[in-house]
Amino acid sequence: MTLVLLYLAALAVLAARWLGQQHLADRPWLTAGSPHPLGVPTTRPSPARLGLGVFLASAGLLFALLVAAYAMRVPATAPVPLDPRLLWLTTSLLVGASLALHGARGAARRGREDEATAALGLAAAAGVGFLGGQALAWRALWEAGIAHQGPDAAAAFFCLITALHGLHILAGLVALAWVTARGALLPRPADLGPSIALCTLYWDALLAVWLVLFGLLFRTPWSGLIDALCRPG
Amino acid sequence: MSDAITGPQDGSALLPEADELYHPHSWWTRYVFSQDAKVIAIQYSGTALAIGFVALILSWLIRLQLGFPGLAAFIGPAEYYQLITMHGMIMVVYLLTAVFLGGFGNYLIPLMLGARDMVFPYLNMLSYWIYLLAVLVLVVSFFAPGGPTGAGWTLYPPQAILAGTPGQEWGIVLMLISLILFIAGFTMGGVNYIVTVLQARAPGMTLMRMPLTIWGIFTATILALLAFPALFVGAVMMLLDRLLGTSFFMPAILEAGQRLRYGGGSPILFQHLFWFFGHPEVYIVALPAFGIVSDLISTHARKNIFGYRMMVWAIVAIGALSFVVWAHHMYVSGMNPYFGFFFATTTLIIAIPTAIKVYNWVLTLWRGDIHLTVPMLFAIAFIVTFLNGGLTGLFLGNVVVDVPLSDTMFVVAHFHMVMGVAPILVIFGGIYHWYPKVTGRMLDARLGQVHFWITFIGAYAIFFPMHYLGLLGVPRRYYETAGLGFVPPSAQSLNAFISLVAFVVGAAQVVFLFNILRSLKHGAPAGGNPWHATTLEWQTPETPPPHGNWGPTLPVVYRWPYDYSVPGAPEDFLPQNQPDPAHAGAVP
Repeated sequence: MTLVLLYLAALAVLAARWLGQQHLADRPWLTAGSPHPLGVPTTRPSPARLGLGVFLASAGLLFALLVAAYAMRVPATAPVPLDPRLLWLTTSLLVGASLALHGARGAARRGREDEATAALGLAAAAGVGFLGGQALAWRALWEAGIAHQGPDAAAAFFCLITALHGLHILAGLVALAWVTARGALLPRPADLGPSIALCTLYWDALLAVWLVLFGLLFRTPWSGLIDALCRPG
Repeated sequence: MSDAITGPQDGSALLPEADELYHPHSWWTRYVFSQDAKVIAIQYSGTALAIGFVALILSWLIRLQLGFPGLAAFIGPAEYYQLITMHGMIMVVYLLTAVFLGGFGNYLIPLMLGARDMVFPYLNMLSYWIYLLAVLVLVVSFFAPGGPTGAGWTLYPPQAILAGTPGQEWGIVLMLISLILFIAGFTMGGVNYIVTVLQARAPGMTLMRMPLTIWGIFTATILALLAFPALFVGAVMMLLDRLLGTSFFMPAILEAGQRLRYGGGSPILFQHLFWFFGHPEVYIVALPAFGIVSDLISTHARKNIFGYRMMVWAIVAIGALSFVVWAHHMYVSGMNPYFGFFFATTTLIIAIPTAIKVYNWVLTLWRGDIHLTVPMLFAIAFIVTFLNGGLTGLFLGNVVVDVPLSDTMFVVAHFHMVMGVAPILVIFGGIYHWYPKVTGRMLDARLGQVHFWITFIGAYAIFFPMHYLGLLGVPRRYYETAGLGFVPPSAQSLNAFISLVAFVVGAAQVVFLFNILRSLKHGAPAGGNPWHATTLEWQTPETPPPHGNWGPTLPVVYRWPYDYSVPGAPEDFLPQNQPDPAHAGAVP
């Protein structure tokens, strides 16, 4: 549960920082009229970006809880019975998708819409490739599980966690397809910048979640850190 | 929405053309697939109250069995477990959570904050329809082969998915699917509530000018978005254990001499996940109730709320603390005694901000101009009931007292008082208070009084004696207690009394239903602000407010929401959107 509590603590720090700017010590009964300028601060995120952030905070806790459950249920000495090379490949595809999206974002900012649409297509292809690789891993485990008379805990957790992560990736692909189609098909496309920025945020978050999950389920250079966070003692 | 708006000279704010709202075009998009938060609120509340009445009937059947064992031949042990499971689950998740956040949240957040609607109306609509689907899946489980699950509302594995438990075939599967749907639907609504509170407030509506109702709903929504993932994870994992034979929660188990293929799973893991959701859930229900009660008391006592800042801080503090107390539901699960000590301490610390709130409500009433309207009666009844339930919480929060009281009727009495009856009283109070805004007509006050007194006194007659049953050692979840040597025969007569009262209280809810339906047509016209309240929802140009709420101009907020009994004011209150009388018309 350490990871969950740390995650909650991080959210609490963010919330406390934000609350600190909200004049919670005001005495509202004394200040009729306008206690603070009515003008809206210019740096405010768009509603869509804020909404996505709130959703990701909630989804992030979902994965933190899964990690905690894994650490509680599966001993560190029982790794997932899979060849990690396949997972390194899918990981690099997910990194590629994020990089392509950052490229698309930069291109959209420079006004190069064709480039942006192409980069979006590339990111979507990488995302599909990632899901395909995960599907291969599931199949391998499924066959191994049947051979062993019932799935073992690490394999079951691997399937559960990657399936939930994959569902989020799938939703991200739908969003990407929607933005790409708008960029490619509309005769005079609307400004794609904000939509691409939303996609980038979402895919970056899913990449971060995946790196934690990957480090938990397999031996990676950062696995020691993740073990330290979720298997204290 | 208010991005482009600053307060112009006339003290109002124009709706920019670019922000023109989505408008419904047909009967279907206006009343059925509506994206208007007010319609969605009514849909949420109606669905929740409908399924709540099902839960009420289930509770009657539970009491029938407990009070008069063997009288109803169709209630066997299996049916009894199904009754208590479905009653608990419906009341906690599908009624209380849905009414407070989906119902009151949707109706009040945009109106009280001076917004035109939720920020993502389409998502909001989707949220309701997924909630409805979750309720339907739950209802279907009543008709599935084997009936609904009888695992107890906590759904503890391994017994929840083993063959001896009623509803093992379909009931548990449908229950888990329904919960997963509920959480998906709620997440859509929850994101909406938070973004709306953060970004769609009218000009001048600082956080410290928000009514406490909104503070309660806002904080509860954050709790829900952080608590429901735990239930989601638990539900998905149990579903896989049940359907695919994984062993997330299932240890090695013998069933009828046969070793099942499960092995190595951790039932305690489920308990952690469940209560990581389950305890914040108490506050997901309680915080909106706290907020609504604060507003009802202030309005109907014509007095500003005592200690507004403390009330806000207490809400935030309770919300934060509610995430570090979950294992006080697990004292008897065999955990490390030091953990028990830790969780007992955090649990008792919550009493401090909660007590602050109770004192502040009482001090708001102190020397107030108390109008004993029906909403006020319910609000005062809430304070008494919540205090009662909170005090028994101090008993159960301590490990050494909890261990002998665990799984007795004392626990049942405690949680019904504190998170059953108390929030329900607030829901009633809130409906009596805001019904005039929703429909333009008043609810009948005499019927309301009848409803109130029977419900309030009846709830006490039901749950107060139940504490004594618990102290006698009468266990909860038992189909019958006859033949238990340690239960004296007098317990049975008390049980019969409780059941008789429960039948009356249940029947009194029909009065409420009748009042709601009758007043739609025959209620006295309410006008825009029948309670002379200060908050923005009572200042709409039209009642009931149309789509978009505010006509061409958004309100501008000049003051906090509790300016009651203001000396020198033309009436005894100043609405939030009224400039200072001395500087009327000045630039804010």
